Amino acid sequence: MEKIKIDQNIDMRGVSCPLNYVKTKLAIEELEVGEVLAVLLDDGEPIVNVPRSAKEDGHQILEVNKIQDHYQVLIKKR
Amino acid sequence: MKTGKFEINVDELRKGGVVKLKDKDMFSLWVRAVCDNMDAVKLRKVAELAEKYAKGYVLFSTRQFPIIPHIHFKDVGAVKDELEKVYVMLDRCGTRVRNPDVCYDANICPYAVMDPISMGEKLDQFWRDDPGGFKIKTSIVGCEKQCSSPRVLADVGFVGAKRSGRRGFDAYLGGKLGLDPFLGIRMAELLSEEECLKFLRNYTQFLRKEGRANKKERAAALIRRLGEEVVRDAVTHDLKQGFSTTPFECDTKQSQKIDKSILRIRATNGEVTSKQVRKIADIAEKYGLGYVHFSVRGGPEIPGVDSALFVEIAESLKEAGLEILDKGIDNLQTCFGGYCVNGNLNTQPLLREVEKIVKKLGLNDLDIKISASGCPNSCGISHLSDIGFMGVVEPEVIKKKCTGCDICAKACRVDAIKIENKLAVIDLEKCKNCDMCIKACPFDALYEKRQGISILVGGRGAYFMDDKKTGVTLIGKKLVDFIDEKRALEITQKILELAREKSKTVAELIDEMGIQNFRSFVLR
Ligand code: SF4
Ligand code: SF4
Repeated sequence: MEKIKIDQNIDMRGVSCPLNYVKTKLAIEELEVGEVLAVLLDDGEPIVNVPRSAKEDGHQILEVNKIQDHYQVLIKKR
Repeated sequence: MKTGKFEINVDELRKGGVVKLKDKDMFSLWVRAVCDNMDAVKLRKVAELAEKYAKGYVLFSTRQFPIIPHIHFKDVGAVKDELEKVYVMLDRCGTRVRNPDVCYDANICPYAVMDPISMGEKLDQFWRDDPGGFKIKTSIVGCEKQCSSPRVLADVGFVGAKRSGRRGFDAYLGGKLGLDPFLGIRMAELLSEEECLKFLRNYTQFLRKEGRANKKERAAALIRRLGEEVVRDAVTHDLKQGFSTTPFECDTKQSQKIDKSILRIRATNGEVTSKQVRKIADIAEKYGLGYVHFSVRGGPEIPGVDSALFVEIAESLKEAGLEILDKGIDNLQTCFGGYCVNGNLNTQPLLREVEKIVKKLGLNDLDIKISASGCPNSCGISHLSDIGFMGVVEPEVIKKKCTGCDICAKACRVDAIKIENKLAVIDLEKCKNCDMCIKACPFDALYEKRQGISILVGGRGAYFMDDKKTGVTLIGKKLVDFIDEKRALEITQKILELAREKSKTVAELIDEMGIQNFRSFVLR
């Protein structure tokens, strides 16, 4: 798979729901349409909820990568 | 934090009580009602904020506190600040210890054998002192009529009881609704308040030690996994030692016996406009004790009213388009339904249609209960109603889109999904049709193969009207699945006609006819 260009990174590990979503949302607000945000999320509730909320807000999830005990999610602003 | 568009104090969200709704950027605020009561002054504030920041109505929810729906993300902090000015906090949600639920003050309810408020105050303080960190619901009722259904609506339920001359609280453990409901098991009998607190302390310690945090295990799961006896040993040891706290004072507590009635008001779907809320607050001040009680069924209740004045009050209520809940069937209650992020069914219009049927049939049995939930999670207590609707969905995997990321499996609360060869595989035998997996899949690799309404029948949360059934709680049985609204209404009418003809509740009809005969009769 070709490498996706990441425009912004945020680390939401250790941040609980729904705060992680709100902060992710604020980070997406700062991007231009088409840009990509990489979010690090804990396993469990966060990885289930945050991509879902981003999707519901109309953004596109490009990739979900498992890194050891957490996840990296690539979200493209739409 | 400041950004181009929003300014929000993110810390506000950390404590909970702010719950996302379906519409983009829309939240609901769960407003705390200590002892499930709220005085007129606070209530007016809630009404005002609903008008100023939301859609001008308040929900009287099954959770026994008011909810303001449809507050924009950017206004959450402002609403919270304004509430704090009248000393109102937000309630808790999610994986947090919930505030204890109670029925009525023993000085108000003539049936009470123990005082739920006194116990509630102590529980409230208990949780203030406890570090929490898990989800636990507690509920207390004054007698075995069990008005707020603690055996199913709370992990730990204390039920006032009197046996062979002794009084105390029976302690139940494990109650929950949701995807696989569990009827709480009686673990100890006739406990004193101090023994109840010890019981609770035992349980929280056991949960911390044995509960699997990643699976969000609660009492029911512990009992299922470890067996009733192991759990019983753990929660009942050294009860005699007791445990005490200095109670937090509930500001609506009554110091003397109130020999009056409770006025109930109809609020279909639990929806009450700000104007109506103000009317209710006025009536509570003029005719009652100055506060309103939040009941599970969502009809606002005003305690301490002289029943001789009901006619006069009914006139006054009419000005705001309200009526006393004394005819028809019990309040038609729902969860967030159409605006819940998890909802699969627009419950509010469905119940408005049901209401028309009830009016048309001229039903006058308040003991018949109908409710609806947007999904099988059953926040609208569908399992505890004569007729309970639920929105259901059957998921299917779109193989070429699935990346095997495993998120759906984590979203599924009944472990119905496994990843095999980088592909999600759903076990439809286990699936409870909740739709969480579909909503969670980041790649739209799951879709709704079927969608519809499921009807549960014969549930019973409380047996208030029938003294012979005191202490009984029944979880509704599934009648049909995946039907459309038109068919659901036909079936509802059939059931209600039968109930009227035989003058029986649905549970009694099923008892008499057997579920098979009942099913074939009403589905005919
Ligand atoms: S969440 Fe979606 S992509 Fe991931 S395994 Fe499940 S169905 Fe496949
Ligand atoms: S498989 Fe999906 S629809 Fe079925 S119970 Fe699990 S999450 Fe709910």
